[in-house]
Amino acid sequence: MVILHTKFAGFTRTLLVAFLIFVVVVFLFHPGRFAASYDFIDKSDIFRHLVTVPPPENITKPLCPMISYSKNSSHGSYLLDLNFKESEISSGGRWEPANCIAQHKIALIIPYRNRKKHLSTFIDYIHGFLQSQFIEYSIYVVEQSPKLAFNRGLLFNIGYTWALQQEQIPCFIFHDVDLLPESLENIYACTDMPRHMSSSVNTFRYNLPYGTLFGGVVAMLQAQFQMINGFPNRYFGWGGEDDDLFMRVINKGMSIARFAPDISRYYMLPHIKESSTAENTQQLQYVSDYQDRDGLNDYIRYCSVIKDKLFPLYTLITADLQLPVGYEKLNQ
Amino acid sequence: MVNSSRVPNALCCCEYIDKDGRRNHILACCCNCVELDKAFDSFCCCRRGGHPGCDRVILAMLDRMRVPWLGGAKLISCDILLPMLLLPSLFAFGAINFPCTVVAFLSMLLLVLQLHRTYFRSIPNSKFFCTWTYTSFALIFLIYEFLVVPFLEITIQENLIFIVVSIMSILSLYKVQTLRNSQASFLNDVEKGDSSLLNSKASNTCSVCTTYMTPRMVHCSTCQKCVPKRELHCLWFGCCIGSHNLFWFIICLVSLSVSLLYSSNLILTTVCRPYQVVGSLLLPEDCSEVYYEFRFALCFVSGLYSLMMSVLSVFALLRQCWLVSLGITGNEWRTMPLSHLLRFGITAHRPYSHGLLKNWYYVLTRQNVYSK
Repeated sequence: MVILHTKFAGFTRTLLVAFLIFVVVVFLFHPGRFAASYDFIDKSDIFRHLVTVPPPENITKPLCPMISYSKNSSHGSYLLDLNFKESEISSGGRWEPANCIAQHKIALIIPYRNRKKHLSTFIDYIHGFLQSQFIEYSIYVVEQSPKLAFNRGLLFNIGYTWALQQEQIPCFIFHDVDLLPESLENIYACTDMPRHMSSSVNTFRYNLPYGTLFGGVVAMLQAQFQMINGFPNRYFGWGGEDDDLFMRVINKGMSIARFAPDISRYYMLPHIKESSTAENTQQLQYVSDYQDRDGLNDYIRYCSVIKDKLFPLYTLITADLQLPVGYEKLNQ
Repeated sequence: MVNSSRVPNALCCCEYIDKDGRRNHILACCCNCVELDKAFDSFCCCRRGGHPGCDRVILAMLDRMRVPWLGGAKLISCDILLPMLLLPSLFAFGAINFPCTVVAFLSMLLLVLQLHRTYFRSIPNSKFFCTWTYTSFALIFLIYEFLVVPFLEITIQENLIFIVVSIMSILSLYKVQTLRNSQASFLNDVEKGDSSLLNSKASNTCSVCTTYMTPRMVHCSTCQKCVPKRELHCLWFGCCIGSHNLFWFIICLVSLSVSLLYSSNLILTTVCRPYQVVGSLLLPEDCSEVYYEFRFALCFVSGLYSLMMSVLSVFALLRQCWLVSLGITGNEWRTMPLSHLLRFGITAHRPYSHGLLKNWYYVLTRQNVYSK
């Protein structure tokens, strides 16, 4: 009896230790605690997935190549050494290749406030970058007046609508001002699915923190952006709107695409990190309820005055924001 | 019926027998202190001789510091508790701002040096330094797992490498500490045919242990034991290093250096702005934003500490590798005249060296070769 008892106790102890080790191992290697690994479009498949502008019927010039590899830096790290001629750029930050027909036409929308240094660095860099890719582009910087907290999603909606009023643009790239692309292979054009372009940022150790991250730099076809009703307008403060955008894309039956990690590398200009506003992350669960009410069709309620001004290297859109009637109810 | 209170080993986990032989309970640690009453009495009455009273209070306090344990609460000795409290508080202090980090590291250095002197004089086999090693390792590991990993910037593969190397260093450290320098192994070697050992002139008996001594055996006053081919008494590992555990000592130093270096790299590239050197190797570049948030700063301090420890560990490893290559022990190195030391011991008389490759071969295959 005693022998049986001690045997049983020993067995229980072994079981307990095994269970403990199991729990610790599961905790230590739980995938949710680590940077995500993600599916991406294979390098050889990229051109198949890119959506090009149909060339005009009477071609006088050859089609542009997709990329000029000669300018690609050899070490692959850090920023590229690019330059451009300011005289070739038309007022408002428009450019198209002179000797060939561009296969991609994009509008770059950049929300902005109070970061003069970042903006000038970014603009100087991105012109050379886009010209090396022979992309026809126009740059819109959307600045928010200092009254309310920064609203990134709303500024994107304003920039999108404003750019579309000027000309027909098939592809939009929504770009943060502090991110600089490191690889010329990261083509600034739209793929058949909405594309998360900045999946490998230096401040995240060139890893993707979580699979549903859809912020930083996003490329989307105009039709797709219209379909998901644009960005949400309700997120004042930092964070929330990018996760919301991801849910909007998923809700409409689409998925997101990415390029390989070594292509989608970005360098983030240094600034102090801000923490996400608690209130913003709570709204996520209701995305499908308000997706069709809050977005492109609704943003005008948040705006009092919108002006634009043409600078040599970009178009600046200044927006005066206001809280619409009943905004407080949204957060309840 | 047996009166359970009279049976000494029927203590519950929170009870203990105090220094006066009475049964006591942990929860009563702040109650009924006769020593304090007496000291307070003599203080109030301005009686002379307050100091011995004060000492008695401290002794009583130390006696009452216990942790619950199976079969009665265990005494926590001060030299184990000290690093456990000191190290985290130094980390927290260092996380305030950059000058504080400098002060924390400097004071850590001075403190260790000072304690090294005092402990070596009074309590040579103190567990302080050994606990310090364990505490630092645990602290770095916990900060890495609970503060750095949740930033979601480390991949699962990197975590796997780190944990495997950490487990390796812990296991080899355990091996270093538990391998006993048994006389049996030596006698085994004698039986195998190396009988010339018994007759050699160098062999004699140790005056302290009164045991048979092989040619390069040295008595360690800290361990109170004779150690074959004694290299050094490693305070940080809390044991002597000799031929019996030299192999595991080298393995331990290698894995410890790698794991500490790797953890410092992971921590620092997460909290700082990294840049890519080659392939997937990242190095921290700009750590100026670290002190804006306490969490970042704490990670940064532990990353720096880990780097510092790995540098020390690499240094110890290189030294040990050099000694093995030369074919001399740490003990022989320390007794070498200065003129040889200045030439890194190459010119020294090395009667037991078998040449570079053979020396390494014997260490790595863990063979004890006593004579040339």
